[in-house]
Amino acid sequence: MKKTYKKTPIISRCASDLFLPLACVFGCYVVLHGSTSPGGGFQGGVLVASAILLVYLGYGGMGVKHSFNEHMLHSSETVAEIMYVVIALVGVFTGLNFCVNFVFAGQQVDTSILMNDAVGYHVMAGITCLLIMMLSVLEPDDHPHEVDDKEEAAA
Amino acid sequence: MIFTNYLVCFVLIALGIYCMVTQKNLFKITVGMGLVDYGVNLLIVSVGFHAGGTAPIFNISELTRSSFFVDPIPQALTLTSIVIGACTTAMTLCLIIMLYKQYGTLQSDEIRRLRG
Amino acid sequence: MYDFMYNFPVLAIMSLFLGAFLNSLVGRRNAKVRSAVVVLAMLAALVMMLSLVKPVLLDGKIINYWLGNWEPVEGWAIGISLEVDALSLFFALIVVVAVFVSGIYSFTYMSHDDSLVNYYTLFLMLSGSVLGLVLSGDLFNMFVMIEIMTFTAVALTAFRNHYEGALEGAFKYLVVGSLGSTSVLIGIALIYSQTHTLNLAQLSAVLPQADNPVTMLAFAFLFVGFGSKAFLFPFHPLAADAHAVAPASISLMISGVLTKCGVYGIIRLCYCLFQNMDQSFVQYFVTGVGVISMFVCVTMAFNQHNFKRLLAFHSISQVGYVITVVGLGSALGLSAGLFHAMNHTIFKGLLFLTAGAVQHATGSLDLDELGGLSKKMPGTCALFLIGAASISGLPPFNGFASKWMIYQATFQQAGETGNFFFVVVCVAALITSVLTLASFIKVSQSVFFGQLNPKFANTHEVSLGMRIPMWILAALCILPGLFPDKVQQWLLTPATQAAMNAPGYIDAAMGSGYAASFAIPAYQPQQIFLSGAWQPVMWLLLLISVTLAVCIVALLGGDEKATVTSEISSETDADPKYDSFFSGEASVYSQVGGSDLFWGFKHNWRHYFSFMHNWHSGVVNDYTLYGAAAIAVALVLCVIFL
Repeated sequence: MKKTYKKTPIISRCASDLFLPLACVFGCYVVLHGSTSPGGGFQGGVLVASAILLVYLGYGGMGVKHSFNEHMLHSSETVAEIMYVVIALVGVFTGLNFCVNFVFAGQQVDTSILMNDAVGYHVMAGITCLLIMMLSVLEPDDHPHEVDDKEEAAA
Repeated sequence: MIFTNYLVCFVLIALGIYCMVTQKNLFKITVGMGLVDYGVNLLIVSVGFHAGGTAPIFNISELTRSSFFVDPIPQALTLTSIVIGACTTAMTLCLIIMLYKQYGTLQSDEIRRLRG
Repeated sequence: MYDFMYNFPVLAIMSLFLGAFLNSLVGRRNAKVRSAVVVLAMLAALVMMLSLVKPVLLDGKIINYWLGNWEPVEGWAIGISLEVDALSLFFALIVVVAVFVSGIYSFTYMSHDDSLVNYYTLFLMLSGSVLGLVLSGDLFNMFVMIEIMTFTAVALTAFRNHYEGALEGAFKYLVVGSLGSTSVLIGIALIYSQTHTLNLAQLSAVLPQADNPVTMLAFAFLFVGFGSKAFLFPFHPLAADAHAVAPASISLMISGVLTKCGVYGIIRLCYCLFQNMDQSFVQYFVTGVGVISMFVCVTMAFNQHNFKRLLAFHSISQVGYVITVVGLGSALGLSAGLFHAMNHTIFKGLLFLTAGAVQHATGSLDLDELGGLSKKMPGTCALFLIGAASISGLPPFNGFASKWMIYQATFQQAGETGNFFFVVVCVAALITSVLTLASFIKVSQSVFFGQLNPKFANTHEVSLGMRIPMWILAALCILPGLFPDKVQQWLLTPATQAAMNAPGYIDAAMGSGYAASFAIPAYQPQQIFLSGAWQPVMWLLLLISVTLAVCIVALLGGDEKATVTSEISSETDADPKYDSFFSGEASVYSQVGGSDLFWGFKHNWRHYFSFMHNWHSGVVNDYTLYGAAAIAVALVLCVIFL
């Protein structure tokens, strides 16, 4: 296994090391400020998820395989979905309507921040899963992996 | 200016449908679907555009009767529609990969076991 | 006073979605937990929708639910709403019952497949999106739900991706279905550009006044979009491809639930949003589309050799009936259409489930190969006969009751307007019904009767888990057929009145007096007159007496079975030397296959059939072309005539 692992050039590895934290931090920034500024959960989540491409460029398919756990990502995606629904449902059980702003009603800090975070988390995990599947298609010989379109639709 | 937008989105939609109808390669059909999506997105954004308006980002205190901004709802709709378009493309590509594994071809006129 | 029941629409949708998410989280390892989650989610949705029957259908309230308490400000609906009137609830009941039956059925039916957690996740998401579509009060929400519905349906169609053609059917469905979704989206954009609102109630108030070319284009786009979701005429090949390859429980969902979404969209569009059902052009247009789908699909079904593909064409044919009478614009027509939509879900679901049972037991759906299964699977055969009798409109079943109303509505329309077009419609509906019966005689002959193919000699009846959902549907086939007046009173009349009562729908959402401020006249409830032989019990008696007469004649006439025997072998039993020449004749497998039963009819119509065979070419580009042509034709017609 170790022998087939081909090292990528040092330039791409260094560039990947440099930009990876930047991409992650910028994506998290967009997610966290989604309720008051342009952007939001989806855009930030996609930004964070695109970091996997940097990992792929720097360390190749084996690097991606070592650093990400697909099952964990899949479950965390589901957790984020459930989180969103539960946050929305709290409104119902406090005697108001679904999706109601229950935290600090009337102020700028409100439920939409929590919802943004849930969406960001979900998109991050979902798009990462999607990209891992696409990358596994690119290298069919060392790891024959069937693409599962059902999982992708669930994403 | 806004007329150009409508013209371009019409052209995009027409080109996309033309692409879907005439091209036999499955990937080109996917590109055609994407073109139609972009045309519709451009149409929705153009619907909400007011010449000279600012970005629709305000605090409650900043918002007055005189503030003039572009319509935010079409932009939200466009975002949703972009996400849906991305899903469509991903799903189509997935199906194409599996179709290629099963049929060994990418030509749509050879993938016709269900007919009649 | 705060009433918790007002939360039930959104809770029902969310229970299905939450079930889907929980299922994919916890159901990956343990099958029992997975089944429990699925059943709980479906049951919760079913119970919540049933509990809304009393306030909405019987008392006539309209539940209006603003998400996040964003209520309208100064006559502008700024929030997203769910609006549940009797029409929405009618379709929602269809949806939850079909979902429940399909889910129970798939526990046994899908037990041989793997990665079932994905199946149930997608299944529950499909159910939730459909429920969200019919309960939504916002046009864009409807679009989003349509898209979720299309994706999950495509993925479920391709679920058995080892099955021949599954990926192909899913791919065609996705490509051409995306054309329909795009059409809906363009319509929404055009409407928004004119009215600057997306709330259905506010749009219903604004749109009838905004009589300009853009809204007419929007009408055409939305009509084609919803029509593509109901698989109407130029989109019907998609349904055939998708049904033939999908698992049977998903075929039930596609035919029973997804097409109903298209029908619901068209009813909302014509009766509520634009309120242009009184214009004769719209009547001709909608009815014409319905008649063409009805007739083309029923003739296409003659050519089929695949059990489920044949059922798929019949499914679109029945949806064509619904659209035909919905397009008449009269209260009787709409109520007949709603009744037939409900019955279509029931009997078509039953037929698809029997097809699934046959597939589960024998592994084949080929009509030329199957045969004689009534000896091996008597229960499934009886259920199939109930479904076939229902869809062909035989008296004691529900299909007769709704088809009788359909004939009555078209006949009445023809009589009142004196228009030849509606006479043609009435005759076409009758002919289609006859052709449906003929087609189902063919199916029952080539699947359940005749000779048993030796290949399937050790077939067994399917297990109880698959038969119970079928019996539920069979009971639902019989009950509305026996008591159509109760169905009419409790379900159809409220739904019909709600669909035609646009001012009430507007006022419930935007505050009373809002519709009047847009000069929309208050609604006068229209009486639904029923006439003629509205006594199915009498028809049942007639059927019983005819059957008795036939039995007596058969008994008196002796019991000679018409069997083919070899003349030579009967004369000279002892001489085996001819066996090598003649022995094949006595034991030959001579089942009349699916393609042989109506060969004379098919021979006479061979030009039509070969044309239609070539027309359904199976190439995705052609289907896209038909879809684009449908959009173009609808646009041109609406611009010229509307």
